[in-house]
Amino acid sequence: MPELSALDRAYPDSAPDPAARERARIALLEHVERRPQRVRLSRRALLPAAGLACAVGAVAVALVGVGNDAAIDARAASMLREAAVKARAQAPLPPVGRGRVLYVKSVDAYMATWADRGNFSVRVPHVREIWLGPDGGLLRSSSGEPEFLSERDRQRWIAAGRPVLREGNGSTKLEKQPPSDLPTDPDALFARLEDAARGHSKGTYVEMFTLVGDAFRETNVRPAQRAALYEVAARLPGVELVGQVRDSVGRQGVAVAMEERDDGIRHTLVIEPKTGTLLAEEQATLAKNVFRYPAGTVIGRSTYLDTRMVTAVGAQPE
Amino acid sequence: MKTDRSDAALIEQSLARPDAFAELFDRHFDTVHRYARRRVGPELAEEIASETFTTAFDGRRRYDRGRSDARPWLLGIAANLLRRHWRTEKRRIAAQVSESGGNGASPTEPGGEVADALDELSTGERDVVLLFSLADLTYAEISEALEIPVGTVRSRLARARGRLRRRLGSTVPSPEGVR
Repeated sequence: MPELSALDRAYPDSAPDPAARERARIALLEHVERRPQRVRLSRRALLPAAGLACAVGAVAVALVGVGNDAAIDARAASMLREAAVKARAQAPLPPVGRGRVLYVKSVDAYMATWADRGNFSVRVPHVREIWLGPDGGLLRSSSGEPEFLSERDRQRWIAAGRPVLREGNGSTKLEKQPPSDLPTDPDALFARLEDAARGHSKGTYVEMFTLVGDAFRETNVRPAQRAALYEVAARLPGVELVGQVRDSVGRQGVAVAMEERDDGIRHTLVIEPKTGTLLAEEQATLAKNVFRYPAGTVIGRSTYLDTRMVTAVGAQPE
Repeated sequence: MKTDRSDAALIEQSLARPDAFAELFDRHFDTVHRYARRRVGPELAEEIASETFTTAFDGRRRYDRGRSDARPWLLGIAANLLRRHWRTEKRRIAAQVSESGGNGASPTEPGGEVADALDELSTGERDVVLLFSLADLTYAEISEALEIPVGTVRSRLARARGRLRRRLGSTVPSPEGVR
């Protein structure tokens, strides 16, 4: 193939440059952490707008104004240890296998920012259903009408020519997920999460709190693993007890939160006290935040409505 | 933390935890940088490769998570970014071929012949033939990278190679150990 040979000579290779790689990596991380492009702060999907409005009233207001002293940390730890006991006593779901597919339904709304067209932000609500089977899975998502985070955002959207914001519906095939291998021993789990979080720009404990939340979402963690996760959260400096709250569909739960002060975000987990299951989570702004919104502005929320086994990918619960 | 998750799973994860995207960078930066380096040289390549990943991060929600390997997607972004530097690339190739021929390291094409031959291709043909020859992508991967049907990849590649062969026919040496 002489023409390919000619190209090969015309484009000689040269030695890689580790310094270039490092500079580019730093540039990417700075971009990821600082640049408010069209960022979705977390995944998940949500509700019709009416439910969203309800959620703002029920959860966000309830979560503001909690202090950060040691006594509150102790109460949070106590509550989380109780949740661990309750979680450990729950019967596990059967493992994923033939005829057994994990189904999780949630509703969510997360902030998305259009940096390239007017620089405005909205919360995009979704209903999200996910199936995780032995050979792969499926994610089905439908979006509702986005809500502007502020009047300023709405004005910028108008100035940008009112671009279409609704995302529509979609489904995505998912790869096979291995069962969670998280240790059930709290010490081992703490060490593992600490190792994963060490050096994170948000701070090790904030990142560990995030990892605890990640482990609960749309996963079939066994009760013993769930209990260990609560035990780990109970040991994290900075976790605060928020108290009794209701989630966006009116269920009562107990909330704990962790503040990410650099960005000015409070991450909250809402736990069902009798079973230790995760009902909901939320991210809201602190008084000083990189988004420049008033304190308590909800920038992301998920509510977990249903977790059970169904018979096939795509099947609805009976 | 290194994981054995697929690229698609990492991208999915990065929607919730944006910093997870750094692992995608760790996996593929060298490939993207090498491709850009070959095309435009080390200085501009750093800029292109860096921009490839920030562009990919911004557009990760649109990534088809049915595709486990993100390499074609990333190289497609890089190819797109490289389009605006074609004039620079062309000048560089011309200089490179002349230099290569001058030192006797390989048989020589007249200076600029390859650059001129590539310049006569359409942008789409050039993208396909360079992803095929420099990045070692398959037809299917080029199809993913450029978001064009595989049939279009085949036809563009055949056209591009035919035109290059005709244009360079009198100057390129016979093949030897080159695919």
